[in-house]
Amino acid sequence: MDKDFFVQAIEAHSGSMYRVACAVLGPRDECRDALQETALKAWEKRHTLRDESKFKSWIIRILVNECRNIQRARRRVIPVEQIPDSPAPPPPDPALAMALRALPEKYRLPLTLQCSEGMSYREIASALRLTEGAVRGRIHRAKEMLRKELEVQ
Amino acid sequence: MKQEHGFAPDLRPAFPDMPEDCRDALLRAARSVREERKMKKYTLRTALIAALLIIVTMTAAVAATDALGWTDFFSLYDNTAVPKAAQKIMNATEIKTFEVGNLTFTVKQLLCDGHLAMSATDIRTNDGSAALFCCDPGDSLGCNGENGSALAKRLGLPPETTYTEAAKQLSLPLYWPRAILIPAEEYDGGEGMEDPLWNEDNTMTYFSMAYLDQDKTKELDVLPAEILLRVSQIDPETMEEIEDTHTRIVQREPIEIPIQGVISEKDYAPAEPFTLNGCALTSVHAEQTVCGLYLDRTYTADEKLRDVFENDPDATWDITLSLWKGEWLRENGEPFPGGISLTGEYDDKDFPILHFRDMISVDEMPDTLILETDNRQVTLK
Repeated sequence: MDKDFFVQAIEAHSGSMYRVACAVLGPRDECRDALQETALKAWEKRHTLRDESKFKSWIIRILVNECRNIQRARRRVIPVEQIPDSPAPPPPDPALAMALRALPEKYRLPLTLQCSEGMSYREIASALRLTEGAVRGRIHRAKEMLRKELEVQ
Repeated sequence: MKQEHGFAPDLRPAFPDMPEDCRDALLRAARSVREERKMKKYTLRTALIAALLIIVTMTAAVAATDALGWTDFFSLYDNTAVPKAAQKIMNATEIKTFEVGNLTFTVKQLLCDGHLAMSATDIRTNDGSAALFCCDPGDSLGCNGENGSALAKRLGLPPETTYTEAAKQLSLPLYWPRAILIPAEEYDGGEGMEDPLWNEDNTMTYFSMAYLDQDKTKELDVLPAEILLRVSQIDPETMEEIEDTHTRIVQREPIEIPIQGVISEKDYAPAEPFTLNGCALTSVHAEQTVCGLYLDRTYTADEKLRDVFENDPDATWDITLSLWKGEWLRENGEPFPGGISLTGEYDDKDFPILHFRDMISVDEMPDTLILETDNRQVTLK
């Protein structure tokens, strides 16, 4: 993979990467940190991508790992003072956003990868290191839960 | 042919637009990377790698070991079992051992029934020395459920410790291996799964399953395939792959797996008319193999549903989801164990005919099936 391809691919998938980071971390400033770190780490690990057509699921996997590193660091840090995040812009569908946030992450993330990013079960399984059966089961459950959340609203 | 669900709620409106400063920061990071000329790792990748490859074929049955097998794998799933006939065939696999770089791969279980092909491969170091084997170096030890948590406990580390952190703390080499079963392209159904488990001695057993194109495999006695064996060693300090002829190798080894054909087939019919959400259950076609019983439910949509579908196929998703649900029960009301395919299929390409395919784990085709769905039951004989 050369640098030109890398930059173009990052740019092409930037929206997806942001949405996936939001799905894990919420729409917070930490998403920016996660995305920057992901770009740098992905370049370091570029030789692990053997098929450039699979860039999306590959970068998503690195991003999810990075988001989880941030989540772990977030739990360890005791803030001396609360520094408020920059206000996130509102989503186009706040009710849908709230319903989605209500889902546990293990369901929210694969559902987002399918229904927001259009990834196949196989791609999602590869990105999240799950079996395809587990992905199907989680997405099935996630859709049920999301529907119930939307009905309650 | 497998088909994705027609409906998928578009979740993009649940997320705000990517802020400009976020996009700028990401692209700045991407543009800041350096492309070095003639990096050693690229030189190695293009060079011929003379892997040490030793093939030892033994004709004895697999000796009882403590290493995990497919039965252990499925025991981690609720109510899923491996039929006895399948266990017997897998345990009689002719073992093949490959030494690839620093690691030894032992392909110990193989099975194919024309719908699925499965392999289980033990992975350890050539000299039996201690090492860590991971799915992804950034994963946490505990991310693989109970089996991962047990590994963390044996290592004396918290389950949220990543593999790279564990390798650093324990001063162990860290390997990222794979052993994937790949059917010949013309028989490949296009999907599959792979997953490892860790044994009591912290070696790895790698499980791989490929879904096949049954229209093509039904004429075969033997499935041509290959096992892809990948060795990669990670430097825990840099998280980079170590470039060395013994530590960064991909080897493809051709294999042939006898296909255990269909044992019996039957068309079950509902004992009485059964309609659910405008769809009449017309029949259930069953195919028994050593891997279990494949069940193909056929529904026919009524006029009202056909009109809805014509205008907007996605609008029928709620209805088709309700048809997908259901549990297969014995005559005495006990549920059958789930099938080892771990998945199902929904096919609406011949709408108003709808197919739902799943699997249960039985050694013999039952005379009677009960489908419980939507708090109702229908008996099929």
